[in-house]
Amino acid sequence: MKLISKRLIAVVFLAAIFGSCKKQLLDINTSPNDPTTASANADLVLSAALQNTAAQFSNPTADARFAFAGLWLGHISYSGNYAIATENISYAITNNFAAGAFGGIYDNLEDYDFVEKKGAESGNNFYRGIGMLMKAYNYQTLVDLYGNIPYSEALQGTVASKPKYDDQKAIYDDLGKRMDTAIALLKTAVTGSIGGDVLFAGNAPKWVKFANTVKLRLLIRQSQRADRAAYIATEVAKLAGASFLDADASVNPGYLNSAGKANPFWGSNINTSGTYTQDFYRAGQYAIDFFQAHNDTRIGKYYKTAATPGGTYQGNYFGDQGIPNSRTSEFGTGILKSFSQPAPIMLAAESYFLQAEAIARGWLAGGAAAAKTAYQNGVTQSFLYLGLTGAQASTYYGQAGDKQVNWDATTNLSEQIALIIRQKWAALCCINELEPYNDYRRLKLPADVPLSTSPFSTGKMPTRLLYPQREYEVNAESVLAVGTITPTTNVWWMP
Amino acid sequence: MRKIASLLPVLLLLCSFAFGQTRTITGVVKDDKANPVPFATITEVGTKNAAQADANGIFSIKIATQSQLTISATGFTTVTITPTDGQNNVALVASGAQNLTEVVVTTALGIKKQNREVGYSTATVSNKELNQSKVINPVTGLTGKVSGLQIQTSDNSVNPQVRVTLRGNRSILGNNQALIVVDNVQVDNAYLARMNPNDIESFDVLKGASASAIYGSNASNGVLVVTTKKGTRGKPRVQFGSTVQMETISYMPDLQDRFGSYGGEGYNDNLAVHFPEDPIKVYYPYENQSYGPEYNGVLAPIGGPVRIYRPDGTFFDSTKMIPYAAIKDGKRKFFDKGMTLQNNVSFSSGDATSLFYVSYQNVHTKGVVPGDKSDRNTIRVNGSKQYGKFNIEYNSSYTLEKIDVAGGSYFQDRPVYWTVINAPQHVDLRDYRDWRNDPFANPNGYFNAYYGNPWWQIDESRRVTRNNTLLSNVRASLQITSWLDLSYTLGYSRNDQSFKATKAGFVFDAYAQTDPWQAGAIPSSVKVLQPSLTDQMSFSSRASGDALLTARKKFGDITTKLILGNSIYKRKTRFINDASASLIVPGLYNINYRQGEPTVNEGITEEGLLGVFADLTIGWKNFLFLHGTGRNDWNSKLAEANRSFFYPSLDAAFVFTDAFKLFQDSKILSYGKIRVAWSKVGQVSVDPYSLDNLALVSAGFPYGSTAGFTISNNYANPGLLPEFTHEKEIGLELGFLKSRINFQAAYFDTKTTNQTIPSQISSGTGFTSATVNLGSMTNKGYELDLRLTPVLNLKDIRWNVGANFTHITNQVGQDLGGEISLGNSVYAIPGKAYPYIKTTDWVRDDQGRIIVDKLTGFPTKAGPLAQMGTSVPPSKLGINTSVSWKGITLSAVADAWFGAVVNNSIGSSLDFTGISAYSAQTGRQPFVIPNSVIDDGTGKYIPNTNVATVDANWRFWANTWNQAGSNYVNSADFWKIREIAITYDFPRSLTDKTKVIQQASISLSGRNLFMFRAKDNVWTDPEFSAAGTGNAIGSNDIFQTPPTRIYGITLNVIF
Repeated sequence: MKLISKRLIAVVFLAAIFGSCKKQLLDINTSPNDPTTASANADLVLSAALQNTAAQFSNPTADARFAFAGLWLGHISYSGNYAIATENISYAITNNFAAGAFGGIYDNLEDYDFVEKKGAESGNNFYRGIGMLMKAYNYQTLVDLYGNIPYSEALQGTVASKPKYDDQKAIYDDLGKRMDTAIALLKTAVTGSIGGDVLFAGNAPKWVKFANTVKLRLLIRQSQRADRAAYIATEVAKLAGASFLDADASVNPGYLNSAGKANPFWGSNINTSGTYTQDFYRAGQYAIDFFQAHNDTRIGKYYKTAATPGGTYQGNYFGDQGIPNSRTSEFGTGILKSFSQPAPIMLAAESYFLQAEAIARGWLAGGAAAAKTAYQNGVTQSFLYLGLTGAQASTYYGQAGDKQVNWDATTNLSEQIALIIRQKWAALCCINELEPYNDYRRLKLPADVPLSTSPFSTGKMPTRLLYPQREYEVNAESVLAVGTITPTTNVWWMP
Repeated sequence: MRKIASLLPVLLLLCSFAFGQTRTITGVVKDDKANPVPFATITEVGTKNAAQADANGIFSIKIATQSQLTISATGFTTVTITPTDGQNNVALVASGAQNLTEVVVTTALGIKKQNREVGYSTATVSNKELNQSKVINPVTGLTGKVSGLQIQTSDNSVNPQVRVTLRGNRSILGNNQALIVVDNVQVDNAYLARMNPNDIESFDVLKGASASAIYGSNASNGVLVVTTKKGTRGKPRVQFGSTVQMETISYMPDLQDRFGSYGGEGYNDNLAVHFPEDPIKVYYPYENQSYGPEYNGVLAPIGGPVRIYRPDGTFFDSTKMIPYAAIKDGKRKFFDKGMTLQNNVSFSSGDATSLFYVSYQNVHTKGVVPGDKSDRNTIRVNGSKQYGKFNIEYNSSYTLEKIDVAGGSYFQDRPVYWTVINAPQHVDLRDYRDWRNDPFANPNGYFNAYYGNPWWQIDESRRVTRNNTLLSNVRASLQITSWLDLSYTLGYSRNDQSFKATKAGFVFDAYAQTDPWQAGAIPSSVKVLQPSLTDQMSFSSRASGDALLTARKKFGDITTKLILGNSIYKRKTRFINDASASLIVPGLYNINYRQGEPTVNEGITEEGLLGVFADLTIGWKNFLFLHGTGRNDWNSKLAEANRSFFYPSLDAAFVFTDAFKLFQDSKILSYGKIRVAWSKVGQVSVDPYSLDNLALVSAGFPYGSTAGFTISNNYANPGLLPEFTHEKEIGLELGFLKSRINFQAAYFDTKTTNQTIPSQISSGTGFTSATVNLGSMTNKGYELDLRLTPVLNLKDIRWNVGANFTHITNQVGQDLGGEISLGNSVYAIPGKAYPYIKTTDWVRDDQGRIIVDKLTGFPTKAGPLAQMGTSVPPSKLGINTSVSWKGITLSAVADAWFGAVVNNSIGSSLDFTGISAYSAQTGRQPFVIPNSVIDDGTGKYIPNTNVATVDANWRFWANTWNQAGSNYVNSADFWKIREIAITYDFPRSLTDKTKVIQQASISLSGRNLFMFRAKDNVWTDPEFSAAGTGNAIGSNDIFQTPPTRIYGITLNVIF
């Protein structure tokens, strides 16, 4: 009996440990570090999503993003201080080229999806409309870069961990509808009823203007597809009388002069003590050639003069081995204004050039006079963005007889389109590099963009990006179903 | 093993009681160091009456009054004594040989078992074997000595990272390192590196999950059981040891010494030097790339003109001139001779009821990179006290460690090794040390336009890590009855780490900033470097409690042992860091003095585990043993519904030589055992808080009052389940010729299912990874151990040889679905061995030949990556040998790894700068790429016989060829002579004369003395890994300095 009692004591002892510890030992798996998505609010995710969109699209020096477009279109060039891999100057791009773009945009999309869903849950049309619009904005960018992409099965986590690739044209159709819905929702939105809007500070009418412009851009992208004429006609009719973006759509969460907290483009180029330290990208000589040939005062805002010998603008052509940095131009004070400069998602200038093209094509009302006005507004807005004056702009676009500058010098639609696209190319220089690349693929304008001078150049500027290698590893079946993709496989809206 | 060179009497403490015709003799069997000898057999002479001592050497036997006792134990010569009623002092002679088959093994939970009882694979390494070459990190002393055990030293800094795996990898992304248990307390792997090797009595390696199932969820990768030294009874002993070791670079990558600085690139030819005898040959004195003309010995400028200021502010420009000729072994000369000083002192004592041990060790290491150093101080106190049936043991160690190494350079944060190895071969970097005073060495005028002066970074950029590590445990045990005891162990380990990285600022002078050489030099890129700092404070702690109730009963021929236990632990980690890249007061590294906002972070984790278990051993006639365990864990990291899981194990050992008469008289086969084991172990391979989708602070936020979150890129899974490792094992152990030849073989088959992995998923999902239970991994393999003790035994000469061989076939299951990248070009690929190297490659035809352009002769980089091979060697061979003659013992350890590949990404870097011999293999002359093809115009590929590369200088090697990683994936095969040691034990006749010194020895030892690599591996030690202790081994880079060899001298004295 004595033994049994001792055994009992031991059992009781163990049981006591078991019982008392269980709770404090095991119920400790709630993160003390981060909020869960269930407890996060839409406003806090919206602010970061908009900031991340701006960081993606407004910083041509963000490696692995869209610097390639600026390089290919002649706005920027590789520094002569570095040896550049043959891959990067030959157009022989691989699946890892600019691979950050694909994942980066989907990452951003997930945040907007969250905003949209939270908006729907709480019945807030403003969040819902913004979420829907910004998703469409990002999806269009993906289609423009990659063609077919995960869309109908996208953004669902492991519910569809291998999302199929949808047809790019069908996605475009759906994006048009989504934008319509977003516009309708935003029209019902109440100014001030949201937080975290670091783009328009909760101003609903501004969001509607922006949304209209995004929709217009979607339609203009399809201009060279004859089979879309009827569709475009139906869709532009919906935009009749709509107002478009008339001021820059720029994000500013409150940029600070601290590492990682400055305006993204500023922060990539200039450190917190004001020293210009970015030394991989310099001015593009093709752009310098153009600005100088047309008495364009913007040159001094886009670029600085080279340190040596001083007083002259100098860049590299794409593919050249390059001139060292001390003899080439840095980015200028019109685009690098201050650490706290807002980061543009879409410039007013772009909005006017889009309107000018739509009017010139007869999609929007107003005729030739209105097209000219829109064009000149575009140029003026570009000058104003860079810190120049309206007077300087009018002097510039008033240069009689110059078909690359002066509306009245153009004699037909194709010359007008060439003028608009050339000036859009000039206005978005080092600010938004994707749109000039899109226009180039759509219209082969500006017509004289030089090809790589590298001895290893393939001679063909890629018309798209390749899907990231990662997709072939984790979603092989879906991506392989798209078929053979080469750097010159066109996206659907290309002629 | 208790191989005792000097023979001391074994103390036999006996208490006896007269009781009629029989009397009961009780006592303790001990070895010459007064350590208990477990499981000695005590036999009454002339009878079959026998008893066995327990694990502590205690025995009790009833004998006839007049009888004598024979006492035999593993490794000792059998003696016969006549016990008296009083104290018995008997001189015993250790036999010097210990039979592998009779080794006493410390198994899970610290339970000592005779080898014959053990149904799974184990190995024991004693301190003497472990520390024969005076290792600093104890675990490196196990390298090559145990089959199935892979010790991978992934770099050779003053604080090397060592990865420890047993029987390969089981988990794709979880932990694969063996569990470390020190004196019955589980500790983090990093703890082992901070232990004093002299404190370790033995390592017991429990190779498979069967052996360790009882340790619970952390033990699926096998266990290293560390037993520290305890006090010794009898006269107090003081041991003193001192070691001095030198370390030198043993191998550099193969470098070319034909070509100097770059001659191809650059816009401004003003600074180019035209050699007098060859006006076409252009040489750029500031280049970082060695793609220039051949060395010719002419005195030539190095660097451009440097502006030198006089005290009155006036200046002149001057250019340094050096011969344009390669300096032999120039790189190696930059590095220091490393040195390590180890001083160790210990005191041990004890009496009948208590033991006490205290030790202190200081290790001071000066690395081969100038200025790198580390310092480690370890103090340990342990002891025990017996109060009747109650015993208490305590154990505490404290380590203070400081590691001080050079940080990144002033441009691009490169390591010292990078700037050194890539310097042109005609520059002696030792001339650039005085950068404060020498204008040619100062960053403003340093010759290399693109890589900074390494001496600046050695002086001004430092990374200091301090670790304060505590491990304490107290074990109380109570002998309730003769067959039942209860113990409780409380353990607490804690590591407090502080890390501070500081980098001074540098304001390049105005003249240098203008880039006077027109080179695009660093001063024009950096202009003003602001001082920066990163601070981190962190701790991790682990508190545990283990209760054990042990019952032993004998029923006739059947012995039983039942253990019931309860185990809990709680693990906590916490870190806080701050950083700023813009400090404002030169030399003041305090976060308060900065511009802008600091970067700050914090994180906390907590996890708990509760386990209950039972362990039953049944023995029959001391030759058949059945053993089973069952354990249930409750793990805090899983949801309430899933956090409880059960897993069992079963094993059996059958000593057939004792079971059948046939073998008992055999003169050849003296011992034979078959064992089988089966086990299942659960493991939870996720971090705490992995069940909920999280919103994380988005980069850059908060901007003042604007906060911002982004949805985490990992898609969480609230329904996670534990992963399970199933292991089957069968083993054979044979001893021949009175166990002079010992042979062990084991075959195992392990499958881990239900892996918990952040599986990489398409970015299209909105996430990049998802935590799922997916995929399996199998390891099948065999282990062979052979020990010949001795091979030769001639008069005074004794020669022992041991060899071990391991072959593992590893495969990731097809059920993983897709590949998983582990980083550094290392992958988990369904159907392939794990981990697997995959890297960029050229476009090839269907026969694998490189397709080159028919005009340029250049290849094109392919999109998909090429599969290159596994980075874990499937086969490993280890050989140990020792020869002794009188007092001199020579021992050596060699090992070989076969069948893996290594990704030398360093090769790509060295081809970029043209310093590699590889990049000069064609003398920089155009050549036809071997095994290449061209399109014959019809889409058919024909062998390329005449289209040479249009360029064979920097355009080819630096900008094209080095872009494909497949060029640098080589065979990782090697042979290494790991250890050689010669020890001389001073004869007793000499030490006895001193009256003070009991034993003294002096030894010379060396580590990593020689390495024989595969021919195509011209880069570095294939063992090195940029992943440190992580899973993604097999890929090295510029952050591991070249391999070194270490040799030294040790004096050991026992008072």
